[in-house]
Amino acid sequence: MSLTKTLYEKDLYPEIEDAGDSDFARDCVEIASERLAKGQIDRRTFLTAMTLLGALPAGVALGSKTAGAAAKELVVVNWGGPAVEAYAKAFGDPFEKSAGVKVVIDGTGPLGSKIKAMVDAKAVTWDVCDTGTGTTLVLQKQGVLQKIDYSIVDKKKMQDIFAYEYGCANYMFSFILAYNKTKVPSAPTGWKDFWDLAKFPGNRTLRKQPNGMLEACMMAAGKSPKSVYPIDIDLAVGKLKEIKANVIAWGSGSQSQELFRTGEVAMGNIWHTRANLLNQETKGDVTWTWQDGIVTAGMWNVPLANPAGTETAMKFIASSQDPEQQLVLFDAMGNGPANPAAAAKVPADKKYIDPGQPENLALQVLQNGPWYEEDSGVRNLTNDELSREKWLDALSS
Amino acid sequence: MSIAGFVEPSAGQILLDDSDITALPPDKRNFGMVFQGYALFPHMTVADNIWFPLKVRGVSKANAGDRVRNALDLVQLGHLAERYPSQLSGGQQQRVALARALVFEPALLLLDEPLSALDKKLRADLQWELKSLHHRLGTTFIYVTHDQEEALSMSDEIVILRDGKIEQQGGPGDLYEKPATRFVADFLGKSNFLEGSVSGTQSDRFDYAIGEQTLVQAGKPDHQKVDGKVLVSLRPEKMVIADQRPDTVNAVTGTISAFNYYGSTYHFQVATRDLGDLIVTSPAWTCSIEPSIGNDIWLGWQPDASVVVRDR
Amino acid sequence: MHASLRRIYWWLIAPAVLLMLVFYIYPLVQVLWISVTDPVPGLGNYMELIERPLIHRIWMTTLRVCVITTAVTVIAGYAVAYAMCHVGDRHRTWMMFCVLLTFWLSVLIRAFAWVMLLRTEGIVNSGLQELGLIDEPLRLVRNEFGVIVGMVHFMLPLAVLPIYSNMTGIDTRLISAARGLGASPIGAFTNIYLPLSKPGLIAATILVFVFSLGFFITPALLGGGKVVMISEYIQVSFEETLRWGQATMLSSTLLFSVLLSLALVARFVDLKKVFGAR
Repeated sequence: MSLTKTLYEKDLYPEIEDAGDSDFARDCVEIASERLAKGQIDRRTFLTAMTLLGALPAGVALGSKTAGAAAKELVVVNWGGPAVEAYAKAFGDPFEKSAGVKVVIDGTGPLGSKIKAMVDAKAVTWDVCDTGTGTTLVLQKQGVLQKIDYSIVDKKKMQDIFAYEYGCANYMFSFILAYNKTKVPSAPTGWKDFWDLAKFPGNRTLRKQPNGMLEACMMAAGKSPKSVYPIDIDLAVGKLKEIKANVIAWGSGSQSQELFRTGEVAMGNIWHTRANLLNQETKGDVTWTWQDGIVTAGMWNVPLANPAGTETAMKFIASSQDPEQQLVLFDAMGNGPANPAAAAKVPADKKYIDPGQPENLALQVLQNGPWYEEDSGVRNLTNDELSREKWLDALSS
Repeated sequence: MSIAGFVEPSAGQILLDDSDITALPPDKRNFGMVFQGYALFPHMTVADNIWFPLKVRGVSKANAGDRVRNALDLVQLGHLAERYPSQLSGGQQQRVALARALVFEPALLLLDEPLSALDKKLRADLQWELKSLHHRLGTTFIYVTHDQEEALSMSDEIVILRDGKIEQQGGPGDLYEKPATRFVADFLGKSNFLEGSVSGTQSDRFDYAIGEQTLVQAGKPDHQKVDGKVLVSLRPEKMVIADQRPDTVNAVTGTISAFNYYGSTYHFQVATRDLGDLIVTSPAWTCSIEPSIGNDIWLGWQPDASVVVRDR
Repeated sequence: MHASLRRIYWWLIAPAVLLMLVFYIYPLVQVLWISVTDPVPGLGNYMELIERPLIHRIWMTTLRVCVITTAVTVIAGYAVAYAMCHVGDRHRTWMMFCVLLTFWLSVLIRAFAWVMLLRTEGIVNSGLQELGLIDEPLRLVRNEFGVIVGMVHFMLPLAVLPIYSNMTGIDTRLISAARGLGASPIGAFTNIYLPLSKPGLIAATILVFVFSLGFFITPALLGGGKVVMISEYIQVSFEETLRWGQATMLSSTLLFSVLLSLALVARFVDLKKVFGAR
């Protein structure tokens, strides 16, 4: 852990938390915090979360408490703030009732580096972690995760493609094409338009990480949504280079939103939750299309040798697949339900922000995790690793 | 500072020989300058310090070699050429400053209290050196000092300034012996001031009275004030001090109220009835009285020992 | 000194030494260790320095940005410090306040302020357009230019303070002396003032360069994701891709380059003197 402290600059600059890149899961917390500031969620909820955070600053302290009390307590780690309360309400309380295991929501933030550090140090204090597909792929290559036991967790209660060997869908979200109506001559209809600098002049924003971007590049290169995979990394990165001069890259969700706010970009490939916020605050000037969106998932991970044991963790994940529970989270945080069965239960006025609605799904591509896991044939790197490197190389060249 | 060109005079002109240099910046005046505290450049060796005025005049280090060496020899520091100023003593630094100011053969050398930072003995030594240097070079030195003894000993010509105006100008002897004003008399050396009413005038002398005492003064009663009084400056060493009434035209009695022994001289403070407290100095080895407080003595001086001065 | 007394002194500083060992040296050694053991023992991570074009590019970007930032900051800092030394007390206080003000602002606020000023529709661009100086808005931010602007702004106090403190120690009479001895104003500056302010300049250069090498947030925010410096890549390797061998290798290289640049400077100047230890 001392290594973490040495290298981790966020300890030196607290504001880096906002400046750095973020996963979708963390971003949901940020959005909810903003909603609180605007009075859209109640203060009690937020305070409870904050108290929890203060009382449980680090997983390590928790771990020592739980060491002797195996399987009586399950630690679920997410990105803190309002997510602590929301997860407790959506998943924690129901599981406590059904399984009799106390669920502690720890808002420390399940950074991949922290999970690896814990496992390497053989001091694992977390049971279930709320991460993303990228982190899952990296962690599984590091060999620090447990396989998902699909005899307990039901593959049918999620999009099949989001059932990874070492992680499974917790909720769904999309990378979509957002645009500012006042800065484009007409509504862009897909990534081909996004790449058309002549017809749609101005800057665009893409993510610093390739995940969710490569797919858009492939579609811009003329591939149909059905034939995006296998991705030709060089082709996709080449497409980035084509428009690079007009690209400003975003690292965190709030940055992507800020770029639209400051008028620096006309279009962007951003998370649908941020597009929705922009849509509300600009009274519809910024909007988005589900067309050619890339649906991906928030992931449940279980670190090796988790204190509550594999079975309890898997049971918790299975319990969280209940459509009603996922709707509670959707309501509180905007995370689209992972279970297709939940789609029909989404209230009519919220369906437009649910990437999992059949009519929205029909327009989009489901992100293919297995492709990212495959060996790229270069320097023993997976497609995920190689594409990260090439993407960054192209961006910074 | 105006002569050097650092401060623009609010009125008047500065002439060098016959040319007006009032508006010329310091670097165009071609004056050598020795500053209070020397202002040697700490990052340069002694040789480079001396080369500096030549360097800014476009002389390369190679070509300047001889002149730098000569200037160093002039101040007898040839062996310290490669030292840095911080490695030199005060006297050595002063000499480097001098060499630096002279190396480019300036039209004029300005010395701004050049010895004020040195101890008394070193100061005396350097005074001799400066004088002999001046004699050898023949360059005009303008020497600013607040030390009157230094002013007297170093100068051919002294200008005494008061509040920016010339009070008196002349050779050191003239200024000391014949101060025109109370300020000059007081500034150069010590003086007693006697103020009395003129009571009788002859062709080459006059009488004046202070209290019940009548004194004789050579010359004319110049600078009489509206009430007819004159001011006379009497140097302490121009009185004789004796047990008996001395054989001088003027003589008064007094009592020693304090004295200091300086080895070569005694300084007495003498209380008199009509003239107030007077300061008197006497060569110690010829002193004829018993120096002790309370001793009653006589003071005497000739009419031409004192001078009439303007009171202002 | 008595041997026993010396032993007491050692005991007195022992806690500090221990603290350094445990919290500073040990983690550093650990970083070095990981860099030669993860994922496999050997110098494979260091080979990447030579083999991987991406790492070359990131290093070159880092050095280029740092050198330009350092040069601009030190020159600007010198001008500010010089002005501060030559204005009245009241102005000096204000100038010092303005210089330090940036210290108290969060990195994020500063970066965001620059975005607002320099963006396409920002004050600078619209001002220049209004004046008819440019037709198309200039790209002033979300690129290397923007990064350098932001970094120079951040670093300015680090340059101003050592230079200013050095300059206040310069005897201004030396300048008068130089002028009196025949130097023009420029001659007096280049021959006397500049050499005498050299220690401040060197201290500022070292400080700014070393700090710049580790810069992260400002490049990330103002560079539009396109100016990737070594620290950001360390963060990516450490946190996102979990390639700790690579991350620690880059950290170690960064540390070595700082030490190397200090060693280089130390060959020419007395560092202890520059930083006032002597």
